[in-house]
Amino acid sequence: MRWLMGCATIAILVMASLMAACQKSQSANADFAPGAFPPTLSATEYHQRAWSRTDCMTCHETGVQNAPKIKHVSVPDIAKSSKCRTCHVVAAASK
Amino acid sequence: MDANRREFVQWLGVSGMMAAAGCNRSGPSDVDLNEAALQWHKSVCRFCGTGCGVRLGVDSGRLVALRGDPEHPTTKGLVCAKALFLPKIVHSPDRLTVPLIRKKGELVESTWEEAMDLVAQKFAQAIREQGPDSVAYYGSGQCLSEESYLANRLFKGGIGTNNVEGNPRLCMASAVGGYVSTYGKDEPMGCYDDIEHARVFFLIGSNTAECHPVIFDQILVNREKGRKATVIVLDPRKSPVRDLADIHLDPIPGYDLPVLHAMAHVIVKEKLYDADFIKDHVAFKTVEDGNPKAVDFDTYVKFLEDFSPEKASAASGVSAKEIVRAARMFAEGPTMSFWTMGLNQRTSGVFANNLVHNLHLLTGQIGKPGATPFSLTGQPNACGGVRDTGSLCHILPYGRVVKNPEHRKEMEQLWGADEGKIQPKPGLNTIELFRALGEDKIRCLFVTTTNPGHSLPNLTPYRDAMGKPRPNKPFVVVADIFPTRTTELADVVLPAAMWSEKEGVFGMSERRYQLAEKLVDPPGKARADFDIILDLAKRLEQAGVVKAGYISEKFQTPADVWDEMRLASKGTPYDFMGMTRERLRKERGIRWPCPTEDHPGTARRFVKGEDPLLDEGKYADPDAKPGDIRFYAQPDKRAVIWLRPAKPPAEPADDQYPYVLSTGRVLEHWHTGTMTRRAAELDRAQPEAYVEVHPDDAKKLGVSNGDRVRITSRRGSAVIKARVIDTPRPGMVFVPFHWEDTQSLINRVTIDAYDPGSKQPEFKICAVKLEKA
Ligand code: SF4
Repeated sequence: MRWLMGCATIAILVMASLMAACQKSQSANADFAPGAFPPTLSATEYHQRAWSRTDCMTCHETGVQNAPKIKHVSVPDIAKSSKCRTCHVVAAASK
Repeated sequence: MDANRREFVQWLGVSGMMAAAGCNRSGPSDVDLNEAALQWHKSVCRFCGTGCGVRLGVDSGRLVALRGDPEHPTTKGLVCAKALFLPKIVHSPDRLTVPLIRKKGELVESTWEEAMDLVAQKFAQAIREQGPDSVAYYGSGQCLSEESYLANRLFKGGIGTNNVEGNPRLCMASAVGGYVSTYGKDEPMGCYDDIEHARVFFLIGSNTAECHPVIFDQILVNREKGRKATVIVLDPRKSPVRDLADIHLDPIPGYDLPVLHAMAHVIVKEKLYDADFIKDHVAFKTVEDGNPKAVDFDTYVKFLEDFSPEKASAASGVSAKEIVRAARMFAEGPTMSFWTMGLNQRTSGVFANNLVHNLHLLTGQIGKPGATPFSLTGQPNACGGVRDTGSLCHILPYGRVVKNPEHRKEMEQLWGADEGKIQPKPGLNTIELFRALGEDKIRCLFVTTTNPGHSLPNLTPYRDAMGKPRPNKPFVVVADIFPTRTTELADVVLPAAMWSEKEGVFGMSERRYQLAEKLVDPPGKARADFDIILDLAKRLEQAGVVKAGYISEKFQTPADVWDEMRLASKGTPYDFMGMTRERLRKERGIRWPCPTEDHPGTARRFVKGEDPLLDEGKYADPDAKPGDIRFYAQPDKRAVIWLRPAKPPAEPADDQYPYVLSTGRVLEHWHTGTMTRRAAELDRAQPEAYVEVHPDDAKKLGVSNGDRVRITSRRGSAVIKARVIDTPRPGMVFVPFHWEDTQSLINRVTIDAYDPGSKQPEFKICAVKLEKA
């Protein structure tokens, strides 16, 4: 049972630090216009290597395969034919 | 581990934690910006030389959002991630807000009065006791044009020293050398409109996808529109641009010159050259006994015999077949070449630049829509701010040089400097300047908007030069927006206003000058560099080391300086007399030449019908027909094909140091990372340095992904996490240089050997050994 308590303590500490980090980043972003910053991409191999992909909206407009749906309203048309990685950085270090 | 334990540990997984913490929104969201809720102002991105037009959303005195400007004529609304996070960087809590003075070894808070008094007193004392050449200025391609011009004016015409340098020496000097030696004057003749018309893109030593993403996007747009443009990449590393490449030529680092000559060889051999263009517009030259010597086409053809594709292949490791394919493709055109640091940061950088121009001149792929050689600039204002204003140790504004007595006289008259004040001898180039600082020959150095304590090659002795305590240590002043690896070495740190907190002009790669207006106030007591330089000038006038009123009676605002800059350009090949402040406020930048207020600016220089200087003035050619090209910046109006030797790098790999190190950048960070690492999203995306090691090499070294690797050269070492990946060639390793922690400062390893012409150091190639740390 001791290992379980040890793990639980770690879990609480990790959770607390994640919440703090999350709040910090949310409050940092709260000082700017809502939606000011482009959402980050999850660190999948697919996103990492999407250096010339311009077709990301195929999934992200329709939500196919659980891709988060996005509107992309404030983006000029030309940007829709540019690569997604130009504006959207991945969420974590690549490796 | 039993099942329960495993399940519990899985429960500790990050995604579960994030969900539990209520913040699992790191993926895309559908929140979109409500543009109507904000006030928008046009401006220009302050990062790379692409110079993207942006709109800034302002609310209650703060920048709260940035978007691309769809009305911008050449970047059309495109921007990259770095720009989108600029509001966060501007309002970072880490900004420097008060002057700091080093007392008893510590930087302590001070007042502007005390700090500027001290700076002026130290500079005046050095000038009086050891002469004008005992002081120096080290500026930046990120200063506004008016700031660089004013500092240059103060040091060269006021103090009387040519010790004026700046970080463009580290990035674009070889491109300048290439333009000047080939066409007679600096700066590209083409423009971004050419991207739409090109059918062949030749990307040389340029990771355009990450370092100039908006240019890369425009190439993608060209392809998306079904224009079937082909892409040739010449680069030893498989950077992301390779995703687009139809041909990838991957030479051993430093051995691309034989490849470029071999492409010319094929073009000549297969008669793919433009004989009429050559007859009318091209001269051939070589260098004999240190002097240029005219030769003819046949001599060039004979010279190229040494560079058959097979011989070039043996020297470079590139397939001869691919060289032939690339040459044929290039000659088909219209061809647009883009290059950047891979070509410039070399001891043969000017020669490498010449060889790219050779290909364009040989095939006549120049001065037509979609056909042009075009160097991409790393900084927003290396072109307009430093190269054009003449803010380097050997030049004067708008194509003038310090060695030319007429040029000195013209500037002395315009500036109101005493006759003979501008010295005929060039000052110290960047590397020699920091060497002289280490030898205590430079007594005072003023650094602004740049981070030489991180960015200089062979960094250790130059960090010592700036900061190592010693009797008679030179006095170093640094103005910047954040604490950096340079401010930590300074005797005085001055908090500077950032882009959008001050007004001034940026001049980007396509000769477009754009006004960035002041929209918000700087934090704390930070001041614009313009005000700091003006303040220093006034105090030096009062101290009697600069003529009274030389600057203080002439300028109050950057707009006053701009008017003098226009006058300085008048009648030169850079003429932008027609770019009034009012026009710049209204328009989204204007490309020079623009000699009159009713001129719309010039898309293609040297082309009749586009370049107004061919219609009127000393370069006018009434006989030329629309579309004709005239290289009027050369005395004989002929551009030069140079017969350049294919020199090896200064320090190729050898038995003791068997790998070649190359440094570069990633999309998310910019240069020494002092700004981009302050946006949490950018920092998280690329949080630490890494070294790319080819899997074959990793196997030999016993290195796995994530292992820490010691990289050692003859100068120093760094310890960096390995990324085992096949992007570099075997035998080559690649490290981005954005991080400042002591262990990963890769410039402790790089070499400070420099090109004898451009004086630009060879950051891209040095020999190293690797071991698991
Ligand atoms: S491409 Fe360069 S100028 Fe354009 S937004 Fe990105 S960093 Fe700024």
